[in-house]
Amino acid sequence: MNYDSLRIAKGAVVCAEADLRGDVTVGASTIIHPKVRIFAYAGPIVIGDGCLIEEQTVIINRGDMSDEDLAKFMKETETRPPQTRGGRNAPLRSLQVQTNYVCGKQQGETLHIGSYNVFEVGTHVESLKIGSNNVFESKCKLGQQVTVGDGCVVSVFCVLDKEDHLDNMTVVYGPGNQRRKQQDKPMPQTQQLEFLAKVLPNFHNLKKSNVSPSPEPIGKK
Amino acid sequence: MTECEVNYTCACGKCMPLIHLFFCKYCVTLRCPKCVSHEVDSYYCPHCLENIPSAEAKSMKNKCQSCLECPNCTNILQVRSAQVPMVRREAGKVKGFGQFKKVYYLQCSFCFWTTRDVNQPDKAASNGPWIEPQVEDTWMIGIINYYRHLIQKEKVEMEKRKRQRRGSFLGSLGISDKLLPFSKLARSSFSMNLTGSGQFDENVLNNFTPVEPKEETEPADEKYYTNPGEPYHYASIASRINQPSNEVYYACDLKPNCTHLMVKRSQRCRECEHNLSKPEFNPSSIKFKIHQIALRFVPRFRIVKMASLTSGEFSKVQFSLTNPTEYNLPVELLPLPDSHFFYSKLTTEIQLPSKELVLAARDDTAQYDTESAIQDFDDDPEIVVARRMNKLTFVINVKPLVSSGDVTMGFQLKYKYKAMTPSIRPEEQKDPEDVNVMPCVTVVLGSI
Repeated sequence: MNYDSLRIAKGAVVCAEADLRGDVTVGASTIIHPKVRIFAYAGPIVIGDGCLIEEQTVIINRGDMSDEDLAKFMKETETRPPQTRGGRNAPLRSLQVQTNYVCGKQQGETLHIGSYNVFEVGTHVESLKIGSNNVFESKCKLGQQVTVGDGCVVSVFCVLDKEDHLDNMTVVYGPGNQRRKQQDKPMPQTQQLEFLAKVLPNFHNLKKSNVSPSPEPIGKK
Repeated sequence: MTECEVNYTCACGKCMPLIHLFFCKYCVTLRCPKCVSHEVDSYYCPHCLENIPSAEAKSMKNKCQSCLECPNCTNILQVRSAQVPMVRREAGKVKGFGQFKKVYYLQCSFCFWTTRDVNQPDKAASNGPWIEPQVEDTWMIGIINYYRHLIQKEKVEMEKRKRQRRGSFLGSLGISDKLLPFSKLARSSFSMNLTGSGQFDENVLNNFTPVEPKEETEPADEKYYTNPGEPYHYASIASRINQPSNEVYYACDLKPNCTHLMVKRSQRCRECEHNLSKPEFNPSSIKFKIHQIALRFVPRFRIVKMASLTSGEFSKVQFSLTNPTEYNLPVELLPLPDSHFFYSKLTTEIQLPSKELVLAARDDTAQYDTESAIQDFDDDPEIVVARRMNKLTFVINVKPLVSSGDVTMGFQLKYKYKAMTPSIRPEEQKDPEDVNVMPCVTVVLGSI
């Protein structure tokens, strides 16, 4: 029995070395690099179309997981290969999450991520609602209480962990989390997505897609 | 908890970390940045690394004309290109779109500010021009002109006063004014030209009208009290300070700033006027022609391992000394002289090593050697904890005398510096002369 109900739309490129656990849905032509950790602990995670999720990104539907448990989980999954030989997710010792999840004990809120978002290297996302066309630059961190609109940019190493809402087209930058409104949306990374979709399968094993793309974009409610 | 720190005492009495200090080979003392004279070697742009002559730098108001900064976050702006369809117009009306055209605009890669945000039109060429030449305000020109004349006037008056005090300038040369074959007016202007003073116009000074202060200001608009306002519409205080001449109020009025130039400085000892530090001229080089920083001449004292300090009890604190010189260096630790200003602030009793500690010579290749030649230094195992290359770790017994507050200690290092006396002829080159150097070291070990 597989632990997870992983749904990958056709055209999405999800590397086998990425660690996806729980009820995760990945939209069409989304690229997920190796060493990405997506972890639907407290509820499902839905990722829209054309997202680019780079290495070492963590997306976690955290629910009521304590900081200690989160730190333990991070530490364990950092070095552990995501899959066993049989292709199953390697069981985690630090948490009883998988059993909890499979038994359906926790069915929390869904974490929605819209379309054409870019998560650069080392992003940490716990936010439950993210719009489309956003850019999250390297090592930025979004807490659980943050909701993000469309066309926002969170700059390098900005940490947003208080209750907050980023309006459409907000730019958060600098050491003091300064804010600005921009006029245009960040450019969609279509060229980069196409290139990666061509190149990544040459060097990595992929997780098979098992869902044909839905007529409606998955990220939209 | 205060931070631990180790400071060395400069010849002027200031205490500073060793990394900030210079060492004058000729006076054989430490010099702090306040005891040396700083000289500007060259001006350069920190972004394009172009060297700019000082006269040109002055005329450009110390700014680089080719590199532009973001007015929001002061990062360098980058040129971006975009494809824009050409609009076909007939009789002023849009009749559809034609071929794509490449246009360029500036973008900050950090906060995503673009010149499009402030409605600055896109350019057809990638090199701009991005900033329009600034038209000087007539009011501003008036002020500058006024001050220029005022400076001249003050110069002349000062010169006059000097002449009155010392007799005439020419008199001091042994020539009387009256001996010169000029009229009185010509004579005064002649002596004025000699002293380098220019002309000033009395009319400019008299006709200048300063700004009148107003008793009452206009009342603020009612909307400022009632409307919440959109914070993103206004320029931040930091970005307004960056553009004082522009007097920006709204964020949409911001313009790219020119990058400020930087200088390469050289340091000179004030006592003996020898150069202590001189960087290479090329702005992209980080090397030095002369580099007498204290780190290369004075053994570096560092705290290695703290012990838990209790008042009235001796505890062993580990320290290290690193030898920067290429010869074995015997170092003695002496108590701090009571003339030192820190003496009254000492709050500990310390047991300094009675024997002198020998620091091994620095050898850059030692770590690559397969078989290291272990020298025998006859160390006292009670004092010396470890020895690795040119670093020696040892123990000092520290007894705090206060029950709370900062724990401080101080001592004097004594070692011999091999002073080379430079000679033009190699046969006259003398052997290095040993000079005693005794820098004082003050240490704050934190608080209890």
